[in-house]
Amino acid sequence: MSVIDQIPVRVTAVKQVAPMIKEFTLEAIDAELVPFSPGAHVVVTMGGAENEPAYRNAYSLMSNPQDKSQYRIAVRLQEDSRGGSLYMHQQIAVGDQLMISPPANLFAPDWMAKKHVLFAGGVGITPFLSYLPELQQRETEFELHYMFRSKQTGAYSAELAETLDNHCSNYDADQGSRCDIAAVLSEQPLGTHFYICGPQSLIDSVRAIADEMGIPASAVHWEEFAGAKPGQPFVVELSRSGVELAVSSDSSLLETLEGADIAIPNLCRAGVCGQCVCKVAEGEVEHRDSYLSEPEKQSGQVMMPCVSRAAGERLVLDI
Amino acid sequence: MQTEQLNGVVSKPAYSPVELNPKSSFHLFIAEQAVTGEMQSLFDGCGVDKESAVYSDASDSRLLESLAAMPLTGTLYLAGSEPFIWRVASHARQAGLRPDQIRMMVPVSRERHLFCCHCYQITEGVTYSPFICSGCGLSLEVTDHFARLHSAYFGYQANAEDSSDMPEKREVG
Ligand code: FES
Repeated sequence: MSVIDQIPVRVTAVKQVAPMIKEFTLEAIDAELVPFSPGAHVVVTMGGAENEPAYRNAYSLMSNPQDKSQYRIAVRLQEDSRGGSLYMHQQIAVGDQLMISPPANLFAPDWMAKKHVLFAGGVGITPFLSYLPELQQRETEFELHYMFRSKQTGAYSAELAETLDNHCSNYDADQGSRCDIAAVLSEQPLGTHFYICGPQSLIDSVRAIADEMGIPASAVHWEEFAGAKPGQPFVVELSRSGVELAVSSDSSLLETLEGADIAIPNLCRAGVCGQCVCKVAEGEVEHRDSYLSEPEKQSGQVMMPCVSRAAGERLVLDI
Repeated sequence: MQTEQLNGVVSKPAYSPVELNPKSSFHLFIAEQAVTGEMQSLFDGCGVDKESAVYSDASDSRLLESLAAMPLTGTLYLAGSEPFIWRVASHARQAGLRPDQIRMMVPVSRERHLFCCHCYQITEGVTYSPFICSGCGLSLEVTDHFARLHSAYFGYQANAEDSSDMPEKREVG
């Protein structure tokens, strides 16, 4: 996302909504915010002042999509954080300014569905919070299955149980309560769509069970919110300009390029949307995305710099 | 001539050999007029939870009922003419089936339905172009643009610019 697209916002409230999750309310500084579609996210840029690395993370918008006065996001403190969520938790306070991208949506509900079944794991509840107003307004049938550990996550579970009544089932693993995913899947009528947001393990298990049961793959949607993970440091050379950059173990390749003012289109920063694809001229790639096909990965000619890294010490990109 | 370019817009459906979906809990086979050999062998090849039926009308109310009664984990197999299978598929989508739950066999006939861009009438049994529209009587150039909503190919006036310049008759299919 180029710098020109960015929207400056001010943090007007910070709330601890679960032991590991903080909620941030963002208001526009110059202009009005735009309404968004349920499931949309923004990329938040933090830090980046002198000698300080900039972090960019994608966060789902959890506020009412029609509300132009504010956006709300929730950030889980990631144990293996490269800094983004730690920065949000430790550095950001009321009154601070942040830059956000305009909302983009890779996880919109399919309104052709006769029924929507939502699986949320931990902070994965956030995109669904923006689904709820429209699901209720359209009077579409839906059910929400919310899995969490109350010692860490579980934000909004009490409110949801109260307002959604029997549309919402809470499962607190710290209380020994677990969701029987196969049972939920097997009870659904023709025309049901499934949405999963949460840790990779939850996404994988719902998808695998659905596939085993013969549920059409196109009725299952998911959003991974895990961004780049750290890795070995390496050097990247840009073949067209001859520029060489060092990618530290804590930065992604995309962040390093952005740090050198090289704008690469991106929407998800999680290896799913396909926007950031770069051509590789030389060097082995450790592919970590879920966008490229296996043959594309094996060809070694393209990579997704938002999550993938060099397998060796050096990589040459055709940019 | 414009026709080359318009015909270059390829949205003509492509069909590949149909296989059974081994994970499906229920298989529904629908054929127009008669069950084809291909469909029969698929039908014979799958387990107990299956049903087959023949309809002449893609909007037959009993057909719509059996589509609505499909389970989420069912697969629909279709055989017949192109307009028939696409019309049933569109009812199936309305009933909640996903495209990957619908498997279409190669159409049994090459006859097209032709959707007139001028009067919106659909002319049946079209095998060559230009073809006279049964609604407005214009001579229509038959394109390869298949409108899934109408289960018909788009047709537009063949000699719109110069009434004396009628394109040569050619077969379509
Ligand atoms: S930004 Fe979406 S795949 Fe890289």
